[in-house]
Amino acid sequence: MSSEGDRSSQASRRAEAYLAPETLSQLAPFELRARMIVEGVRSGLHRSPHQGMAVEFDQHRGYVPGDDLRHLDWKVFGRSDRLTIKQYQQETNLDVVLLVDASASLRFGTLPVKEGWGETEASRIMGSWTKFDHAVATSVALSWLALQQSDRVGLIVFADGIEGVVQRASGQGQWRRIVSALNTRPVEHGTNLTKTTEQVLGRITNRAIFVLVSDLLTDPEEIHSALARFRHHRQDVLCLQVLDQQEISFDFSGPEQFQGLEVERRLKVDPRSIREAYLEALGRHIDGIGSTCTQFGYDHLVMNTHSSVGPALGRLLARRSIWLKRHRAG
Amino acid sequence: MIVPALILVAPWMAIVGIACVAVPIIIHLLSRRRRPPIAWAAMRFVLEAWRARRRRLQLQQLLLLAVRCLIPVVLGLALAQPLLSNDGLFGTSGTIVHLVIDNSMASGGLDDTGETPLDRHQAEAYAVIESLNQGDEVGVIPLSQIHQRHSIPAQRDHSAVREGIKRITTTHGPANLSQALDEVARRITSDTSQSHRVVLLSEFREGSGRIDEPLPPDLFQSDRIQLEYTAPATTSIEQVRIIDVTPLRRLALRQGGVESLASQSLVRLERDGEQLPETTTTLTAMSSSGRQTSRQVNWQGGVRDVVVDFLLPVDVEDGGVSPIRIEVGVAAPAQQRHLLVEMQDVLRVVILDRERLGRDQLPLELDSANWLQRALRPTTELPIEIRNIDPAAIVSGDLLDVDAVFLLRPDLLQTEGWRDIEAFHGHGGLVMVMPPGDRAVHGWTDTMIETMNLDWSFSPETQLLDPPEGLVVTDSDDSVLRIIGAELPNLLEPVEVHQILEVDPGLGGSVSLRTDTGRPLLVTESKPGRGTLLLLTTSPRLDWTSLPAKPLMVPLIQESLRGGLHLGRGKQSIVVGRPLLQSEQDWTHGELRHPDGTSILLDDSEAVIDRPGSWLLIGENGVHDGRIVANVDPTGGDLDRQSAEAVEAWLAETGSWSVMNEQVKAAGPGRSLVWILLSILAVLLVLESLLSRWFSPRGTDAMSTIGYAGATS
Repeated sequence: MSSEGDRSSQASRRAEAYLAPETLSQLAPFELRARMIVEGVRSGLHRSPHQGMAVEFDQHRGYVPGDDLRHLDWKVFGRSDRLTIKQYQQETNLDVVLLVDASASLRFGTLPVKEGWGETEASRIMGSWTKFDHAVATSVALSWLALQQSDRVGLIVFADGIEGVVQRASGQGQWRRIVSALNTRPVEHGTNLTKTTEQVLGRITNRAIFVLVSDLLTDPEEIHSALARFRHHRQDVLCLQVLDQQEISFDFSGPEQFQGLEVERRLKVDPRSIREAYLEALGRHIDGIGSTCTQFGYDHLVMNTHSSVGPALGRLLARRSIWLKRHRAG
Repeated sequence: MIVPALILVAPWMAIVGIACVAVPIIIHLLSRRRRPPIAWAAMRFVLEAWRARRRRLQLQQLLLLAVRCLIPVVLGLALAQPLLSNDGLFGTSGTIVHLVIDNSMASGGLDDTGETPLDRHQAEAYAVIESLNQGDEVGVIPLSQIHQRHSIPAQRDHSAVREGIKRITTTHGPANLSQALDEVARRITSDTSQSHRVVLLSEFREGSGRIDEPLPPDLFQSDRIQLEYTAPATTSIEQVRIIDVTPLRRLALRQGGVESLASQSLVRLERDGEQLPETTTTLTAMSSSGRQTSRQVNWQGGVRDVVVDFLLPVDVEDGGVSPIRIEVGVAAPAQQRHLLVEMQDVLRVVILDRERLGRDQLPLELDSANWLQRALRPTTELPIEIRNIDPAAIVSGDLLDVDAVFLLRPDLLQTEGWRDIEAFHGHGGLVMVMPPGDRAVHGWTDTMIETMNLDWSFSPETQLLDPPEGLVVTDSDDSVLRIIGAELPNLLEPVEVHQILEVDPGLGGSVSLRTDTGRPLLVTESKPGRGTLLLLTTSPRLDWTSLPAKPLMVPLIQESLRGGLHLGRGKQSIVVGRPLLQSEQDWTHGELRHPDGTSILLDDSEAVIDRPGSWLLIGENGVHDGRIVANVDPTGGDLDRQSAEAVEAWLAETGSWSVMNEQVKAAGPGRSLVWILLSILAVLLVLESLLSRWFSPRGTDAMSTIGYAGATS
């Protein structure tokens, strides 16, 4: 029991460390808003697509087998002999599901760890601020923000499948559970987004904001397929692509030997000689993900591990807030 | 060391350069080894980039590595001083180098640097040998071939040739370029399968060969023969040479008031150089007993040669042959002369005339023998012994130990007598023939011509000259009357000739006196060592000529006697370097011995006297048999320089010669590739710099990075 208590308090300290004051100050002015209407069970700031329990009528639609008969508009049925379902809009609570990638590629990082940043198993092992650390910091910040808005927050840690789950809940205890669950390290194998998406969408059927925190260095087709499935389930996805500064700049001074973290391949090469081609390929990849997200109406944010979490998330949330206000006004 | 047809002067530098090829490779390998692998997440993009650039990168790396490896190789090769053989890069045959080294007298003088031209030629020869391929052959032909042992046949043992060159010394002989080039041509002809290179090392001063001497034309016309010569000297050297020393009498009587003639000589001096300033030189002479004479010679500015009289230190007391050494300046070989002066106590003369008894006595004016005796012995002090012999009674023994024969009645001489006279003459004796005054027809002339082997022709009858003719002197260096040449016009003036035997002396005889209508009066035919034949074409009696009663008679007979003996005796002098066979000497056995102990066997047909001085002739029985002096050819010591253009034109008679410059000296038998390699090296360095810049990835600052350093998309 005492050891469990120690781990809990240790996790709390790490969690607080993740929420550095500058991060919180940069995120505080914004609220976490879903661009798409999500189904909420609690009254909150989010518009709910939940018809029937709504306070504000939205529209009629045709009945399909399976619809709740309580939502039938009997008046319309009486006048037109057609089964019509009434739909309402109301402010709902938001379910935020954090999908944190813990595959082997997240173990990469080049930023030396500084005191007070908090640490994970990954950073302890690697001795540097890994992409997983950055993903954890981002996830913790978002969960904190969501919980502050009384939203329910859940966590799924995945790699080639779901590795760990924290069920959606609200309240301060939930945040500590999330932090504790994130106090792990990336696994040795790679990502399988298709499988993970299948498992996630099988578990969560109601609408939620899925925050995918990953380096997204997998096959673009796989990413496209996964996001298409989320879109098919009318889920909102926020893609946070965490990349290390070294991956983005590919800046080396001499010949190096590269060992793939998820690919069983070694290559001796002068990085300077392939830097241009590398950056082109990486750029194409990132742009492809961006295009896919745009296609499905999702947000996509590339996060640099050498940059603070706050400003990037702040810009993203501000943009989402503006978009939502305009949408409402329209 | 040789790469086919490529000669490396410093092969170890090439080895170092080739070894340095490993440096860029090692650097490359070390740079690959020292870094631990980087665990990389975005490996698929690295692989994608690598696949996209692999071929180009491999090509670039190979190209850059090749350039970097070539740089030390080319640098090493350049420092190795490669030479491209004349056979071309792929030639396989070796080269035979013929070094013709000027070791003549002219190459022996020390200059301001303290070294002789021969020293420089030897150093240049060493440099040429140093640059040769081990497979090349090299031989040496000295330009002055007195020392035949210095001629080295072509061989591959370069060190032996170097040793041979080291032993070469300057000779006392002149250079013989024509002979040396003939020898080179002979060697080339003996092996035409290989390339030949002829290197002529000389300063081409006039002593080394005058440009007006003919050379064998078109001697080297093959493309496989490379001809080089060192540039002619450009500095002028001032010196005075003794061209000749001519004693007025080589044979002189010890007493009788004319012995001083033996001390007199004419010395011909010549100056080398271009300034020819007004200066003074000292002429000295020394006898074997140590007596010495000297005189100052004052040179006027611009004067190149001069003839001065000089009193020689003749050892009168010792008798016999007196060797004398004459020097001028620093006594280089061309500044010394040696000569012999022979002294005699008495001259023995035989007059061949019909013996007359009392009733046959002729009147004084018609007694030619009487007139002759008076002229031969005008005073009783004069040590001349005269013996009268009847021509019909002469035997060979009568002419033993006789110096001169005066033949007044050749018509009475039998054939046997003529043979005795010819033998006497052939051994250096003086024979003076006069026509018999009693004869109008002279049939004896045919016998004389035949016996004495003359190409003269006579008019068979005595010519009466009416009016009588006077005499004139003929300018001739061979004249027996040369010493009294100055007084001759006055002495000749009162003399008239009434009768004369006309003769055409042909090519062999020279005329010392003529009548004023051109008829020869005194004809001389002389060969050194072969005696002198004099013909007085008028009989010394007053019905033929007034000569016996005139003052000319005594000096004419006396000078004919002494001058004839002077001409008829052997010159007793030979030229250093010339084979004895060419020296017109009779010696065939025994040996010649130099004061320094050097000995030359006369049996050797190729024997050459190789140094000047007074040589003793030792007979087969080991007895001293005479003496001879050897003098250098003064032209061989001529240090006047010749223009480069003239030398070039001169040598061009034999083939296409080119001046061997410093680079060629070092390059040896081929063209130097140093500058070509240095040019290639420069190109490689520039290329490496450019390729490094082009192939090396640009720095981060210079390249745009993708814009995701924290931004959103």
